[in-house]
Amino acid sequence: MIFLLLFVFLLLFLWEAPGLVAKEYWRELAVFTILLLAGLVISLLLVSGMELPYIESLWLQLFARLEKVFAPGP
Amino acid sequence: MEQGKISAGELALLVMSFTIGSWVVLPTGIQAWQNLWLIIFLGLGEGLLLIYFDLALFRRFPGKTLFEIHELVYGPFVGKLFSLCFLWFFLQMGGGTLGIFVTLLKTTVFTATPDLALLIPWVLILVYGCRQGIEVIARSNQLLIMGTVGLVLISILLVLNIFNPENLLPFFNLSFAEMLWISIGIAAFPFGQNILFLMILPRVNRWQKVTGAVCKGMIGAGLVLSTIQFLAVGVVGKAGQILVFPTFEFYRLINIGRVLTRLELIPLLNFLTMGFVKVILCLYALAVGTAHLFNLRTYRPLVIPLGLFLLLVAGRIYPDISEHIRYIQKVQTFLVLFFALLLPLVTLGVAFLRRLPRKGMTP
Repeated sequence: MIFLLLFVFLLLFLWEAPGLVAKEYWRELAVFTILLLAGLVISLLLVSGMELPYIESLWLQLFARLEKVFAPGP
Repeated sequence: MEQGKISAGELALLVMSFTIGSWVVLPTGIQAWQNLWLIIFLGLGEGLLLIYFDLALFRRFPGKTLFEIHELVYGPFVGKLFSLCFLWFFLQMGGGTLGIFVTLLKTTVFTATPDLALLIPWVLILVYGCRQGIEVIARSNQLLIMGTVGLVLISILLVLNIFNPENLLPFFNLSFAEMLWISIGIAAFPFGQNILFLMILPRVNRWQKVTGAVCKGMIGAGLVLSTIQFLAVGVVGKAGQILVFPTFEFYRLINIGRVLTRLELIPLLNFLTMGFVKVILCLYALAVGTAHLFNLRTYRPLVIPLGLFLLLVAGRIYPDISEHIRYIQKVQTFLVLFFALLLPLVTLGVAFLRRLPRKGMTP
């Protein structure tokens, strides 16, 4: 699965990068590469079975803490 | 960055589709159930007021996106920090909408299909559409919104034999405070999320017509949502309160002479198109915003990785639908008001104090 993922990301890079190099869009290429690498890292973490937190659960936890701070119970 | 232009009419239809978006399948304020179709109008009024404040920023800085306004008002560093917060907001909005529709598909039609098999084709189409530019998105939307409005109008005829007006009673059995709170929730989601259009407004060919177009779009969406909610209450009755997707479920009950039955797939496909427009606009705003943040000449190369981010967020947005409903009840209103009311008001206040824009800042 990890190899398949790497292959897909390589394909995505090869799909976009040559056009940017031809136009000399270096800054665009850099941002594209960084974003793609970030996506690859998160995907690899998920594929390798790491439990990343759920976004809305994090918000709920944060609001529960805020609630405790601003409205302390008896 | 992008030369595409859209008309005020196209903008109004985009606003309409975006507002209908995911609310149509998973309404907020479900506790008000038989009053919800009326409370939507109250929420619409508050939403219009909210957007009027947001549009005040655009009127002050015509032709500028929200991110450009941030940099003009706060300077490059703090401005980019504000913009980064909004990027997260757009990402969560798009990923959340995608997540809701995947949940809808998984609980109704594709019960044994893996999430990724539903997400990947959808994101591929989103990426393709977004790379075509705002003109193509706006023109595609014209057809899609016509289909939705047509469906709502036809639905009125289809449910005539199963519609029970008594289900709508009693009117206003909630306290004023409860109704007001629910209406504020509706003003935030779906109406307040239209803050995203501050990234798109500079692409409208006649800036003077922007306020009217956004308001018309929101009013049109309010009417569509209220009508669907009205029909759902009249058909399903009190049972609708315990359904997760009540507006979808009432189509299941349509029965015209035992010939026209099980029509729920038609609205399902139709509502998916509204979700599609909402997510594609989120992706467009994300790409244009990120390109602006890094001073890029084009946003197009960023669409693929950002589409991937949307996919990842959609997969990790909530563990189950009950958690999402809890999020809607406890967090969403505050979060949207923070981005759609507080931050724009602060920006407007700072711009006012600094006497911005100065000559030469705006075209």
